[in-house]
Amino acid sequence: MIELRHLTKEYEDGAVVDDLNLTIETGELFVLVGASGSGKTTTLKMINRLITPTSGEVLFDGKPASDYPIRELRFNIGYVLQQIALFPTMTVAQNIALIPELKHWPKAKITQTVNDMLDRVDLPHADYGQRLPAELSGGEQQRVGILRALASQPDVVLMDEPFSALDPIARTQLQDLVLRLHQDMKTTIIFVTHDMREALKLGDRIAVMKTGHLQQVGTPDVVADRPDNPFVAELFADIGTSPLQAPAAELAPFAKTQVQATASIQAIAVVEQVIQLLKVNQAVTVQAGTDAFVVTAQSVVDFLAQKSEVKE
Amino acid sequence: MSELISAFNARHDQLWAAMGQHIQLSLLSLLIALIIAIPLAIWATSHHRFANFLLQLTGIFQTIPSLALLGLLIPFVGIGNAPAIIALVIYALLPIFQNTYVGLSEIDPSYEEAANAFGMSRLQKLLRVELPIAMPVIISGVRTAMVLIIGTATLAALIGAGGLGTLILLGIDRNDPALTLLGAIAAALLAMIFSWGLLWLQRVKLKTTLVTLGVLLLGVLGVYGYQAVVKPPMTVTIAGKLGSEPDILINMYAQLIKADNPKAEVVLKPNFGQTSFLFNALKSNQIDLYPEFTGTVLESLTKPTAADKKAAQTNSYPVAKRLLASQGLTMTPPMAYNNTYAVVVTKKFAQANHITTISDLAKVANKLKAGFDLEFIDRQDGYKGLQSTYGLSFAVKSLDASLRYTALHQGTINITDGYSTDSQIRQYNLVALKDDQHLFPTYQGAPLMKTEFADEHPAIVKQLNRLAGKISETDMQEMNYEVNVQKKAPASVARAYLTKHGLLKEARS
Repeated sequence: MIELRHLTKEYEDGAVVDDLNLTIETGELFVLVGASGSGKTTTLKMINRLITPTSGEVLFDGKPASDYPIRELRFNIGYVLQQIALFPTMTVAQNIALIPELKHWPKAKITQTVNDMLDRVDLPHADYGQRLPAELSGGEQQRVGILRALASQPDVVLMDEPFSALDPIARTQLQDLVLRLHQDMKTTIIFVTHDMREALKLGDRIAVMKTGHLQQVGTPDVVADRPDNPFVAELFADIGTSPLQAPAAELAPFAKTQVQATASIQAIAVVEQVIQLLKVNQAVTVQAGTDAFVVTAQSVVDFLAQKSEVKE
Repeated sequence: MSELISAFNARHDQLWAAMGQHIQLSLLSLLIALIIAIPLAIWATSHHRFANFLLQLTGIFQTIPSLALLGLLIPFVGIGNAPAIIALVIYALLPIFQNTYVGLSEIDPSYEEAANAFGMSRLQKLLRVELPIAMPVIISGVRTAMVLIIGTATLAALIGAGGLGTLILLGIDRNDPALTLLGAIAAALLAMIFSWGLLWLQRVKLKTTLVTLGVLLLGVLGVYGYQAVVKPPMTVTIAGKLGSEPDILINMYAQLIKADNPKAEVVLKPNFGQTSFLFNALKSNQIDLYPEFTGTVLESLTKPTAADKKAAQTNSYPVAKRLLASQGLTMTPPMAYNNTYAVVVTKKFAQANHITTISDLAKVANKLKAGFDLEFIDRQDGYKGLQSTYGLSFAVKSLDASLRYTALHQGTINITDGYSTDSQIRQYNLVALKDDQHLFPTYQGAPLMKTEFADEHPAIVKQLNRLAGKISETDMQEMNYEVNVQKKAPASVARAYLTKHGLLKEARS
């Protein structure tokens, strides 16, 4: 359990985080959402002490973070950056092995873990282990970034807008990956994003922040359906939880091959727009940069069917 | 090209030895520079204000002309390896410091943030993240430093630290472009090879880099250590100034000493440097003796009074000997020849006009077309003296020293100045006219050593004294000719002379 108590960070031109009180349960996927300047990243960095609070404290299982030796504290907190920041001189395998090595794990155990994890995220270790980060696509790099944070099985993983620099298809894939890994490992994850849709998709609970103040905390349904104040209401107004409002990129798992597309649409468009196109076209290409896939009416049906299963 | 090959064949032993010295000097300097500059740069990355100061300081170091730097260091550390290494280290600091500093400062801050968040210690961050990322930039600085060092190390020869500069200076001194080229090409090749080696280091792992540097460090230190420990008990170190003449003389000294005591270890340091370097080296016991001239002693090494100067005009040796003795130095009796300014004409011209002395020139003053070196024209004991002491006056053009013999040979001029033992006198069939009015100061050559050394080694002094009164100006011209023009080895030229005059045989009996 992580508790933030009266957590405040002030710089010369005012408070960035002002008297924040939050409790994050063990095993929870907790999302901090807000526009830039809302103080969400600052809050995150106070948790692993990259930033020192002006006042207030962060408690891990009741004990103040400042009472832990800093390296020991950080060994137990994984970290995923928006800039990915895989160390460019190390191979993929070396990057993932880094923290277990710092923790002096036995060599065989490290190799085993690294290989298992790579295989688990569809980056076969024989193929990817010895590559350098520069030889990977952005999405692949961030997959490795997530593995690096998880490899030593920390109690908590902090993710600072990890997918905001990725294209919509890679983003969707990685969101699914985070959900899957979270389900498997039950690690506490604190996830920062400015993307409301991403927050709704990932969060067990969501905390909405604005200019250093907490606006509302709750499950996605509660935050979207019963906003505490007009600010929150407006944030989620355009999105809703309807699968029809999901980005077209989410259709990727249901893509069809061997069909000729007669129209195309950007991956940031919503599923509803894809349906409009499918009314007059048999197949549609969904494009994200150089990445693309083809969907048919059946793809949309499969997607909606899965969404309704999840809800039940 | 063929000249280059023959120069290589004649001197490959010397070339390898010089190259060895050059590598040793360069590597040691580079390693010291690395040990200073890299930690300093690492420290500076967290002290930005000092970083600017250090960048400027090392930048200023870089702008000091290398010769001036060497000169400035001599009073403090003497001559030889020490000042050479200090100077080279000073030059190497800037590129290494600057590149390490820039390489480390320009690392994307997100790597820094990641490393911190992962709980890496300062040292782990440095070794596993920062240095590997900055390595290409650091290595390129080290390569710049390496090339700079190998190039500048050629100047080390000026202060007796040896290296490929010895060949270059010797080549310049003997007007032998092939030799200069040989030294220069070898230095360039060395720079390229080391530069490639460093490029290779950049591609391998940090651990390999560190191990390689460690092995090199141990190797260089090992060689120095070995040289220091394995010095034979009885060694005599003899040095000589630049040029063929001192080279021949020190070989004679060595052969004379060995003839008397075959077990003696004689170390020769030919082309060791200029007068002041040798004199300082002698005083600081880095060398035991070297051939010096009485004229030089009176002009630059001692402070003769007016009376001394007057006395020296007729016989310079006793005056030089007495003045040196007060500094604890001993100069043994000189050889016969006088290596001083000479007025030179072709043999043909001398014979046709019946000229043997400078006074005789008065007869043909209107026929003379002189080409003198600027320095000679301006000196009281040069052309000005010819006018006042000999009452001569003729047409004079200034001519660079390197051109005067060719000009005389080709007939553009028919009289020039030179030195009385120049090999060109022999080479071009010239004649040095007798200075019958004693205008030119006398420069008589003799071994110079500490009085202490002379007292401890009477046998050596006795052997060296065998050369007293020997070797005429023509002998010396001939020997210089054999070394400079015929490319014979100074040692064999020396041996030939000693054998011919029975100086070695006598010693053995």
